[in-house]
Amino acid sequence: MRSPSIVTRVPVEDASEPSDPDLVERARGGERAAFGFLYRRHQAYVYRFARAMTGSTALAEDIVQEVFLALMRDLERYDANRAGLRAYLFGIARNLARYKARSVRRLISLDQVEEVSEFVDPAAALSTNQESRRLRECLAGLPARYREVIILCDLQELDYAATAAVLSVPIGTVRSRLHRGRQLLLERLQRRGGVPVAKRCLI
Amino acid sequence: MNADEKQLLSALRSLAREEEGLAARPHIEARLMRAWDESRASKFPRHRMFVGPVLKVAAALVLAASGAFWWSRGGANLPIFPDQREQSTVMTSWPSSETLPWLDPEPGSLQIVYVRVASATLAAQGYALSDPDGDGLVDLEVIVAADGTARGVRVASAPIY
Repeated sequence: MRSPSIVTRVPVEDASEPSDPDLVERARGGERAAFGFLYRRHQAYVYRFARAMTGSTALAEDIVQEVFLALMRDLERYDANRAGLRAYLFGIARNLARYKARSVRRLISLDQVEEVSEFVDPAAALSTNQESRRLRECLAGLPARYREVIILCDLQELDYAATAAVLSVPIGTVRSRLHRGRQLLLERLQRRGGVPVAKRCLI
Repeated sequence: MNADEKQLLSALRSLAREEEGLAARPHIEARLMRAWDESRASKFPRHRMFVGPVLKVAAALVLAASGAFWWSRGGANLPIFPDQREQSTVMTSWPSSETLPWLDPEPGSLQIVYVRVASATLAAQGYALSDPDGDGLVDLEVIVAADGTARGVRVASAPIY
């Protein structure tokens, strides 16, 4: 069971900066700079989530673009009382990632998916860190329902409640999928040479 | 959580730190901001396109109502009594303060111009007006916009000269 100190790991925004609801309100009023600020604040998180989900930088960029176009189009629909903006954006990105993954798999047989995700990710191909690459590949090969929960909880460091909001499932489901997903990931890693050792900071 | 799971969690966090600098390339932001500008630009002309026809329709209504009024007055050729004349100024197509903003986007720029025209000239244009004074002239009050077009016309309530 995760300790409370770990559960609340979502980065806290600078108090001097405008809040997301404030920026959304200003963007609704037509303020271009407010929308630009929202984009710069959240795009990297959406990009990394989409990249981990699809295993492709090109698809991830497409998803980022479509997520923010959807936000632009449906600014009135976003309700800050229901979910934080980042969780809302992750929700859109997740649906798009699943849709795009299905489109890719229509053209390529299922047993080739891992190789495809390896091939279309130039950053991974250039990476000298074979351990990280192996971890990415095994993660990309997990079924989507386990992959997304690991990405949200362990890579994006969302808490259970925020992850449940993104996935529209109960918190208990998040816990069970996370547990099962980690087990599956461990099994895959052990079949391919064991669990990578995390790099330690020596400074 | 066993040792393997702890090691896995540690490796995942290490991967997250490694990817911290990753972000979409700048051209994505440029595309989005262009889309923002286009979506805003498409809204603005819609507003302008709406205002233009409204003004035209309003001007046409003013002219049509004025013409109809003149036609009815002239066609009947009835003697005008003072009380009827007072009534006629009320019946003409003269915008109220509430409808002025619909007639012109800048109501403050509208001006009232008093003109005296020959009723025969108006009759030649299809607007037959009675001539209460019998001098062949009719006094009118015209609301003129900055673009020179009439926004409202009525028979003046009192002689203008």
